[in-house]
Amino acid sequence: MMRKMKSGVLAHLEGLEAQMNRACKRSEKPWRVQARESALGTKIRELRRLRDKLKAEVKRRQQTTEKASLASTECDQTVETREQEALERKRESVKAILQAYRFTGLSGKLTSRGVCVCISTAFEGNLLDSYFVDLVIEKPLRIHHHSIPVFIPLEKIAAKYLQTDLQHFLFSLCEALNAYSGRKYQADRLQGEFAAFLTGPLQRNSLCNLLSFTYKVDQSSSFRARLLYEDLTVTLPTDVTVTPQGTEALSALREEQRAAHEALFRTEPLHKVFASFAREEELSVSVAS
Amino acid sequence: MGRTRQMDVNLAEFVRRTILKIPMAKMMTILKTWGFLSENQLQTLNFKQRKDSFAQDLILQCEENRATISDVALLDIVYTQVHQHQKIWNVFHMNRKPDEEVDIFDMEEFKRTFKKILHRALKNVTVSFRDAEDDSVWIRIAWGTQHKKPNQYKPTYVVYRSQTPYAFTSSSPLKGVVPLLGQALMTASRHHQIVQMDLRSRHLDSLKAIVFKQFNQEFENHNSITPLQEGTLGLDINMDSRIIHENTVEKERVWRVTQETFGVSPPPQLEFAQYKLETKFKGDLCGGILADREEPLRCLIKFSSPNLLEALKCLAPAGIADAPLSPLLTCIPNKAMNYFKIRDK
Repeated sequence: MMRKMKSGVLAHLEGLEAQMNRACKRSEKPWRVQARESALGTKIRELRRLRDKLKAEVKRRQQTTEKASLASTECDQTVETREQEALERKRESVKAILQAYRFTGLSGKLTSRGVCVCISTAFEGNLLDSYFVDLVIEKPLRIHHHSIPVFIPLEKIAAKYLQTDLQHFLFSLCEALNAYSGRKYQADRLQGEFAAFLTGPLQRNSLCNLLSFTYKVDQSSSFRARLLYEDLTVTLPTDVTVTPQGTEALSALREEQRAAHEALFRTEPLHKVFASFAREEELSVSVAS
Repeated sequence: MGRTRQMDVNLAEFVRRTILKIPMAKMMTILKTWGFLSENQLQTLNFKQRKDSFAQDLILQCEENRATISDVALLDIVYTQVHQHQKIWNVFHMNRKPDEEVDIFDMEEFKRTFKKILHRALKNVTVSFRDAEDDSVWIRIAWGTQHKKPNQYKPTYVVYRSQTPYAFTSSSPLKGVVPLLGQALMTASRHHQIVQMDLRSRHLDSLKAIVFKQFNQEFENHNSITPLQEGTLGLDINMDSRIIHENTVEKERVWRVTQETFGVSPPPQLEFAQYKLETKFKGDLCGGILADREEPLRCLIKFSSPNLLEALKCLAPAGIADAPLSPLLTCIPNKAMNYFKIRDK
């Protein structure tokens, strides 16, 4: 068994052992061994130093190339961000324009089915409520859903114009809604700001097309006013009656006042009339004092 | 100081029973809204005593102010306005001739005409009005006969918003009054036809939202914030990130279909939907008692819930039903119906 292994590892080890024995027999002088040892040690140290130096050089070169490439990508990035910022600003501006379209009174947004129209009502420069009509564009054209109040004659207007003349439909609806908003605005302001002039509750209805109230402007007796808006597209009454409260006959002065008020209500918006009453009162107070 | 006139016994009883209905917690608010007693009188009332004695004190104050039936009827209206859900409300739809006439609604004229028609038909009837917000009026009718005084404890309430074709009435145990009520409403509001709708609920506000189409009011426009794109129904927001949904595509489809059908905002509140079926039985099993019958199977299916539409909205996302739901269920708010009769075509 052992003989077979002679060509293998064991044989090699035996050879090395024999070699070492022969070297011992030659008996080299101890100081020579030491010298050789120290020479080898120096060489090892020299080689290590060279290795470290080369490693440092490689590292240094790697770092410089990295920095160079980083600088170039940074340059690209700033260009990119600047472009992105410009696009973002443009997008915001377009969005703002689209949002601002509501100030024209009639705007819309495309939907998957058709278009959603937004009617923004206004009166005398005051932006009031907005109403929506979601239209489905198919044959026949139909209204998917809407936020038009139930007392606005939407069905009537749709029956007349929706299928034949969409522009006319939208225009008529705009007209009706703007007029309603305007009348409502006047009635709300009378009930709010100028409530002090009223001597009883303001009688109104959903469409604000019939307003009835009693009011007093100076120390004398009050008047009853009845404003009728027979046309749903107007914000000024089609018919005004001002009657005196109380049973005694009117003096000439009071009759003049009554007629003047009737004319005022016919030609000026309601809240403007009462604003003028308020101004007159202020004037008379300041004159008196 | 003269002795205050003793109130009519029946009237005093009416006051007493009305006061006893009102919960003490709401008493001050309701009395203030009523506006019949002065601030001083309200201050002198002792709210800490037993209700019986409180009612007696109040009767004395009403005597001082010479209260009439109309005044107490107004108190009853205020009570009902605060406790709307105690009544079941029906909806009536009115039509007028399709002419060009613009609706000039005069509230005073409406009230006059309404009262006149009822008084003409019935000698004994108490009609009271109270104006409400939204240009509406609340009407209270206590019914009597030719020979009997009006029964103040079984009144009918009507809520009507001017220049609209809808009126809301409380369910009355007195069924015979409905035609007369309809007649009065129709004539006073200048319509020529009135029909009861198949829509009923305790929630008056929800009924208004349905017929005035004030639900589901989201519209696409450039000014609104776009609705949430993430498919949630509030359930998944706080879920652990280590949990993944296997079926996200289907979940998102279901969520999208549900949103398209029901909208984003909370739906009107209805408590039930009733389906009266008169259809032939269609079953999978061959044979059996119900199969091969010529006559239709009559059955009544009733869905109940504190908030039926909200519950239906949650069915598909919860995995209990397929989306889209049957149109018989989803059409409820759009058709303004929650009572259906279904027959074979």
